[in-house]
Amino acid sequence: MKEFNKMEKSIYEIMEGFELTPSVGQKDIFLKNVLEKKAAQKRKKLGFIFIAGFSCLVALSSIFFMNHEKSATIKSNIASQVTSNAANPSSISRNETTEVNPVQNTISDKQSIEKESIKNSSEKQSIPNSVVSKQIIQQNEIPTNQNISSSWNQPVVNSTIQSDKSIIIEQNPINTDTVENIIVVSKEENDPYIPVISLNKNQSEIVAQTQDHLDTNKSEAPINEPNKTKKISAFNMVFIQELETSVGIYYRPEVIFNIIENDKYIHNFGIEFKFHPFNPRYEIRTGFGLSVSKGYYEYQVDYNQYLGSYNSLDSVSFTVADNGFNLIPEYHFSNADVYNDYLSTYYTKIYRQHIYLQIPLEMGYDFVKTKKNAIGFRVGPTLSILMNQKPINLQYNAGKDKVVQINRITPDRISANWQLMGGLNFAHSLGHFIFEIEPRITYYFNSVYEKNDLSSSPYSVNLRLAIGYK
Amino acid sequence: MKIISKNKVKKVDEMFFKNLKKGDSKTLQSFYDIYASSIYTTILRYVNHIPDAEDLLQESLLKIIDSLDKFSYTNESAFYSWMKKIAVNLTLNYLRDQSKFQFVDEYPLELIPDLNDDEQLNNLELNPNELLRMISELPAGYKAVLNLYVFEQYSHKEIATTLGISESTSKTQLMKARKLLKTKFENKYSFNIQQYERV
Repeated sequence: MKEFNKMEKSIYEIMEGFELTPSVGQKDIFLKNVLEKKAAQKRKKLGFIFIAGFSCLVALSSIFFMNHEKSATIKSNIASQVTSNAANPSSISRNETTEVNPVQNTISDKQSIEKESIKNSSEKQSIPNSVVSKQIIQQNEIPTNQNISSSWNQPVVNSTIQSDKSIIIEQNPINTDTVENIIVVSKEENDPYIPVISLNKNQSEIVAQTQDHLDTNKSEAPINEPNKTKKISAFNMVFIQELETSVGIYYRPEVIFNIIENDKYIHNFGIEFKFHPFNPRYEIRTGFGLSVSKGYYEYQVDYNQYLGSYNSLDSVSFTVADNGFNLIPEYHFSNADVYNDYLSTYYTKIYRQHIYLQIPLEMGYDFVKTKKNAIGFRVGPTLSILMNQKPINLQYNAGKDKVVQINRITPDRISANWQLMGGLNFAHSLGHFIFEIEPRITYYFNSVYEKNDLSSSPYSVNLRLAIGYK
Repeated sequence: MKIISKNKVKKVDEMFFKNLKKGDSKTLQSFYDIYASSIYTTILRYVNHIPDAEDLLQESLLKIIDSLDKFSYTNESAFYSWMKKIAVNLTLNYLRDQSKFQFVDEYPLELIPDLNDDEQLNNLELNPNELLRMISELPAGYKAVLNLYVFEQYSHKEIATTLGISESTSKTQLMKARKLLKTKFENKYSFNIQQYERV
């Protein structure tokens, strides 16, 4: 609660309720500005949603594309391995780790090995042998050896082919009453599960799996556990089993072109996170950082030049002299400034510092990858949001001149803009640390200014220096 | 003495505020009709150049519209105070950018007289227009402190924080502003007497 003296109270009371109306056109300007701003915000929001959606789409497409590629590779490896093992049993006998149990029943000569692709595991279990059979390899086509051929008369339990590290054969005691043939089940094109080799339709299975899966699941799934075929989803393959991550910091000096200001240097720094979703060659990089740039804004100053001052006589008061007959004048002066009526113009600049928050989403592939070094490309969008701008230097001092009007010539900075970068990445690993250097080119989708005074968008060259820890 | 604004009896309620947030064009027009004049007058107390004041009015109104999400509506008075504060802050920033403020701490704090030991404005026949003109003729620093103290009802501590000056500077500036205003009032009064005597 404030205490006013009488003068302040009088001022307040005189001014209370007093209002001046702005000029007529101001209302239209206000409504136009608001509607334009709302429309711009809407456009920005839609643009953000579109680009975010597009980025997600690209990322998901990449994941599924690579997953498909990987699965195809696994499939072909397994197929070739099965074929070669069948053709060259000695290789199997060399590599297998077999626990041989007494056989209860023998597999008849009529038994065959069928190789089939099924779409998913449920189908695999439900489809009868007669339906899924496509290719029948007669037993007599399978060369025999000491281990395998003899074991046809014995149930083989927990057989694992390890040399190629791509196949495990897991088998339960075979009941020949139910076992009619051996089914080699491979993976369908879009099947998210890895290939399996099954011995029979409901009881015994020979399961072929990737070594990656074996390595991580040997301890979790004992190989003598009956009737248990491990299934690995694409998500697990990509994000859990093979996901390599690292964290790091970066500094990125940047020189920007096609902007109004002369000061083109930008300093970017921040924290980043890297993921290698498919194998170490592929990389998704994101994080957050700050971009600090300095620029000046040009102003047009209209002023009346100060010419000097004089003592202006404000009033004269008279006092009666001691003799009572004379009046003594007392002159009251005040200092009055004199200005040139002619309006002069001066152009000046104010430096401002801009701080942007940057959120990149970059993807890359290393086309050269050794144990310690890697060379690859990186590409992706970056969102920049203007966080703060503050004046840091004023180049104009009006002095005693009377400033009449100031117009800013340089438009304001836009609050958010999108960039697309492309660069060549050189990385060197030293223990857990990764040192990276990355020359890049960045293209700005929209101008950094609110009013696009330039016909073409800005672009920049920059050099990213980073240290990561994995 | 607490001074309570009595000039804002407007049809503004929570529904109006919600419509304003949505950007309803009729509400925007009403908003301008209700508040533009008072905000403009507030700005004019700090900036005596009309085009600048109108630019600042536009900037303030846009800033208010942009910041509506940050304000939770309780009553009209709070809403008006909040808007006025935005306009004043923008205006002060503008003046600061223009390097208009010149605060010279000439007197030690102990020499500044008590504010209640006041200069009285007796028999004043000032109209608001004249007073506004007189206030606008004050140097920018005096004007800012006087306006913040009298109309925005800031304390000297708040003024010091807002303008980045010391409390004693704020008091000095206010004292000088009052003295200068008093001189202007007296000049006007003596002028009237002279006119009367001539007749």
